[in-house]
Amino acid sequence: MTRGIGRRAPLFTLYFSMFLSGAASAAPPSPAPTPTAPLPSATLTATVRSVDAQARTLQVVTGVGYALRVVKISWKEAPMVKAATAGGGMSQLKQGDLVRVEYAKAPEGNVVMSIELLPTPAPPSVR
Amino acid sequence: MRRSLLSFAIAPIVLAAACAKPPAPGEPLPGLDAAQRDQFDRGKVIFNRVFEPETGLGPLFNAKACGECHEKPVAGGVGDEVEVHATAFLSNGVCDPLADLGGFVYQQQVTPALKNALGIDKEPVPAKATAQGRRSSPDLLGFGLLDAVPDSEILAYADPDDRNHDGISGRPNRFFDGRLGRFGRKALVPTLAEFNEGAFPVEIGITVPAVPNEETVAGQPIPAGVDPVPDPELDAQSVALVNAFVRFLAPPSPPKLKGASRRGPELFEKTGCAACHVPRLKTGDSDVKALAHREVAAYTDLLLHDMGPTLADICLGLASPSEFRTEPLMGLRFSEKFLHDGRAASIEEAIRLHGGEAVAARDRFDALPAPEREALLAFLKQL
Repeated sequence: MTRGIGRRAPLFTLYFSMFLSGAASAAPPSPAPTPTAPLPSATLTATVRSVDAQARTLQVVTGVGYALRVVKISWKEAPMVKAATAGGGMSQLKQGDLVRVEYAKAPEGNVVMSIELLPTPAPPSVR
Repeated sequence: MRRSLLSFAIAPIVLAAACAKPPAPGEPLPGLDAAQRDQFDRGKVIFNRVFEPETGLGPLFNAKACGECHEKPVAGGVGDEVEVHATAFLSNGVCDPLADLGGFVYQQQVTPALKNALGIDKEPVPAKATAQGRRSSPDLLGFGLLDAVPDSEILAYADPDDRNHDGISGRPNRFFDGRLGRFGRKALVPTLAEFNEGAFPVEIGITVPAVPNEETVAGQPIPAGVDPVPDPELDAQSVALVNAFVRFLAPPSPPKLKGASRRGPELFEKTGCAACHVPRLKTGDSDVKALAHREVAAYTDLLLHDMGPTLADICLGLASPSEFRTEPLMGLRFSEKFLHDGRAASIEEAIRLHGGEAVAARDRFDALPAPEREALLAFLKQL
């Protein structure tokens, strides 16, 4: 089946919630704010395909058998990358790195919550 | 007297067990329970099911059924289909599997609807690819036993830095999540179930619960309306049954060595073939009794070895273009073409095409007196 069906749903939800929040500001103050439900999250161990610091986007490769898929994850405030040797910013990540990413499944897309650089065996050219 | 009577009574049973005929090709492992046998039988039906666009086929595909490529001499056997893989080996030594451009398997067929929409006959290989490789269809007999070999058994044969100075430096490949790989010609895929589940979307264009999205056309989503069958196109139970069928396929029966071929195992060791084509692996714990703690005459170490520039094609995971997983030789008797891409017309030609780490073994094979070489080939033809 074709992909992309329902892609506008998150956008609609966002506009609708903005409309609702606008309506709420015009209404009399409510007694207590309703706590927002935490976003669902997921953890993924995968290989870095690309890091775009300007766009604040990380792409990782994962999959099942030969069916490979790219997962796009963005970040808002630059997360510290945990590593066995020394931590650092997202810019230290490069294609081929093995990472464990915990991310929130936000309406606007996946957002990094924490990221860890895992040790990888040497690439073939180093042999 | 009673004891001797009892012995007399059970003797035929013991004798029958000892003389039990090994399963014929395509039969299930001995020792499965009734439920497992039922799964095997039902899974075989789905393995051979021919998909059409109305039942989810494509829109990109290599075959219409599992059994189209794994068919000789039985379902789960070899096939004459050859598919195309492509990746990019970057200058920094990193392998790009072109996951954003449709992955490394380039389907050779499309449905009429996709052809009408895009005017293509197959998935185009992107210009970014640095190499293409052709891949023949291996037999799957005994692969459940390979699946049950513990990682520790495989890693015990690894010697990436050739510390024992025998010229053989097998090393493990890893999947994109870091797990040890073992299935596929480059040992990329960690488990048989994942290999099978991934094969549905990649080879037949059938989405499954674990992979609910269709493959893309060089990274572009399938045009709207081309594949209207709801995803997933095959349910979890059907996928599990196919997994059971493949997992429970018995390995080929042991060869009946006669005449000169009796010297085969000894010559296989003497030439050094056995350094990579490890004759026997042991399985570990398994939820299936018939798979647990068995010896499997696989003739592989499931590790990557450098095979030299002549055979080199694509990189994949940690495998460089010239590295390939030691091909399991069990089931060699069913093959009509040899090596990962079927380029060799005979076992002898395949041996002569071995390069890299296998040069010394190949040269020892060449140096054998003709009768010994024939004895070794006769043995290999019976595996």
